[in-house]
Amino acid sequence: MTDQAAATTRRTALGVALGGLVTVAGCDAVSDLSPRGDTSPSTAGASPTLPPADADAELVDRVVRDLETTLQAVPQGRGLQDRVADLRDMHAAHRAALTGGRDLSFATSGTPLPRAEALRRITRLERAHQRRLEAATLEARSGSLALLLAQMSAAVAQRLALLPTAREGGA
Amino acid sequence: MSEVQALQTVLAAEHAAVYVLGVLGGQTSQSASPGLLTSISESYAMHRGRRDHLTRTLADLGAVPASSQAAYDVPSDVGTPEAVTREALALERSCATTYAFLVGSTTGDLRAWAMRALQMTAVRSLVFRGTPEMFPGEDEQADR
Repeated sequence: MTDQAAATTRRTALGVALGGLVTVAGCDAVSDLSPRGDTSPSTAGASPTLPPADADAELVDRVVRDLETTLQAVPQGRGLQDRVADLRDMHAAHRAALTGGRDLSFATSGTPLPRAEALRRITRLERAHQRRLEAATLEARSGSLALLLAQMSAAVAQRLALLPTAREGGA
Repeated sequence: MSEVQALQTVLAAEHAAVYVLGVLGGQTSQSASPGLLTSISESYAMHRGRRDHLTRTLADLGAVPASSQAAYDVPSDVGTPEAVTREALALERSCATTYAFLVGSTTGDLRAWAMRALQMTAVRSLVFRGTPEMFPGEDEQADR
């Protein structure tokens, strides 16, 4: 192990042991890899696999289109307004992160469906979106974009974990 | 940072996580808080599995895996189920940040593994009363 690695090991361990104190080398590196830090020359220079500036542009466009399509297809269901609103806010935040946009609004119509059917459809749509985010994470040439896409995928996973099953929701 | 260095950083974090979860489990009563003890035990097993996987991966790459410290600093106020839950949540979130870092530092199979670890850790945080985040694993102290 290098001296640097040895030093970071101790700091990283302490950071975890102290429970969320993000003073560790790894987490310092996270901020270096911040997707929204891509424009910084110093950050770009620190990237281990620096791609051409627009190498991932088509991928970003594809992901933005996918999340917009996904949300447009998310139905409304009785008692699901809060969950749908949370999904809408999440996708809007993700789109803003990808595009650098400031508009966090997301106009959706949301076809009303019976609750159980709406839950099944939401689950299917979000799982499919998550799988595409996973594929995009592996496809990204930029490490910082991969990091962002993986975080988006994890955010979807959290919401899927909290969705009641259609059986529960339809009871 | 090279992939090996990134893996060493995450391995060090998992060494600490396993240690701290062991302490948290020791502070949790099986009779008074059986659900919490189960959750801590499940997290312990998951982090131990990842630690072992990281150790094997580094060895396969020809590196000497980072060893654990003799002991780690742990919060002193973990005498209640609420405190244990709070520390377990903080630990899972800290590990999520570490795995997000690993995603950005790797490619191919290593990135795929780190991505799944990030997802599982993010979902795991919900067990400890965490709430869904917009960007799990985000460095809360980063200026974003």
